[in-house]
Amino acid sequence: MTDDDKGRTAPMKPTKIWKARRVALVAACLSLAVVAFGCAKREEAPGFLGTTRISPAMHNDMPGLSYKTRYPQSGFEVQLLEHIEEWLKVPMTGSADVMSQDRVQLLRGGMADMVVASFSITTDRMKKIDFVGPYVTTRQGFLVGKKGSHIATRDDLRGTTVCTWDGTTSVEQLRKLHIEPLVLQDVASCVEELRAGRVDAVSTDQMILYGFADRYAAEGLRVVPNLVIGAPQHYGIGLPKGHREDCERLRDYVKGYVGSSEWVNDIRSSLPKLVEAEPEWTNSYKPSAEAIDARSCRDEPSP
Amino acid sequence: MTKTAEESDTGRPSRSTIARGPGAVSVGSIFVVIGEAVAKALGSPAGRMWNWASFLLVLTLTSVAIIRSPGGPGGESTGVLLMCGLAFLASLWRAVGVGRLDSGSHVGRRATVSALSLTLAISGLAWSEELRVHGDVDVRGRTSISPADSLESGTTAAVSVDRAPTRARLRVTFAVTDALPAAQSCTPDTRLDVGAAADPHSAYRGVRSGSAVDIPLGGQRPHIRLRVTLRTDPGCSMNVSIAEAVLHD
Repeated sequence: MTDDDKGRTAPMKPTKIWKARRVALVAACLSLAVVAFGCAKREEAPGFLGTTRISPAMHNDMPGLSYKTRYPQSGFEVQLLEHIEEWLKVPMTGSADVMSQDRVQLLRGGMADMVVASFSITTDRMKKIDFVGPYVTTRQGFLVGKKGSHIATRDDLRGTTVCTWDGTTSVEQLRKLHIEPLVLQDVASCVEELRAGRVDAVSTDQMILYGFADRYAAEGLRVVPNLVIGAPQHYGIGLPKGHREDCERLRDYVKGYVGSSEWVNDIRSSLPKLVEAEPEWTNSYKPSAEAIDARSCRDEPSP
Repeated sequence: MTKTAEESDTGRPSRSTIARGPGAVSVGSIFVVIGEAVAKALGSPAGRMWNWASFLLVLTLTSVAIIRSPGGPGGESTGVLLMCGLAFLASLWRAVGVGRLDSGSHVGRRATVSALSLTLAISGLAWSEELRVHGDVDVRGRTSISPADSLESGTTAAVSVDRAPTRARLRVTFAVTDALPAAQSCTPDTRLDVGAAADPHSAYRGVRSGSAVDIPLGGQRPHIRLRVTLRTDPGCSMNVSIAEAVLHD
């Protein structure tokens, strides 16, 4: 046996054992304190998007999507927001009303934490805010009343008055077809003009138009079948930039939601006219998981 | 121990000792004799002139190598530049006689530097010629696509590469962007079918924006013609451009 071996196997003195125990005890206490502090810090951290109470913003004048004539709101987007609140377990304030042209500014100015308001994901908007989605994909169509009942094709639109509203992608698409639209402040104003017979058609996303067609079916308002223009509109949840981790969490939730029967049931219950008019609606309105990945939480669409 | 008259102060035999001593006809001593002769020759004004002649030769070779270097993508010509640079510096060093290299006692080193600079210059020129014949050639500037703007699904555009050097393949990368960025986000749903214009069956289908496609050129030269067909969602309006085009063997 070497001297070293002797040293290793020699019994420790009681004082040394006591010292070692004290050191171990202190180390254990310190570890506990660190863990407890860490947990406490985690609890103190804001719940989502840097806040413990989310302020969402929505439209309130779109039947079938987000509509409020009296409390509570109803529509597909209202249901989506309720699912998100339930999943996040972070309380939300009552949703603020937002005009289409103010959506980006509301998020950038910190006046809302989340915008769920038939908000089309576009390359330009992706540079300013983050999107989660699409949670639904729609095309731009035409709502007509008695005055525009002859409209069935693009050629029929020549010489007609088409109404749309400010701050949407619909204006761009109509101008591309050389139609100079009557641009009003909001959708309700356009529908009022249509009901009064002062315009021939209202043009915007079919998701929105089907809601109005359902609400004013008795007055003969209907969506023109198979008449669509422009690129598909991918609706996303708008978030301020700078919260990529939370954005990606929400993206994963939305991917699961869109792939579930809950998504189908929510649209069925909110937009019955859409389901009735387009029997294979899930093929065209349901976005794929790849489409969500390509547009969510990015500064530009992924190729 | 006493020194002989023919030993130097350092105790080593002097050059003259080796030349005249016993067994003077050894191989080593022959080299030294030749070295002396070369040193003497190069030490003369005529020899210095030869230094500069050697420098001018290296300068000419490296200049030709650099001028003829095709400057392909991915730093292919870096080796040529490096060789030429080293050759130039070595021959310049040799010509101006920096430090002790110019002294008569470094004949071997001087000869090595001369040989090295010349070898580097010739190798650089040979490499440059190899690149001219077989290296990658960036032809992005000679490549055009038409029409390129506001293409809708099903539209076919023509890609042309003019005055293309002879190579077997073209590696091309397309960039696809939204023509109406304020109204759409169609890039993720857009694909390209790319193929030689003369052979409609040779298309590479479903090429994404930013992905490279490597097309065999067959006998196409010096003008290369491709065709690109856009596949996207109805109503989407896209711009297509060439992000990268490289000819290679």
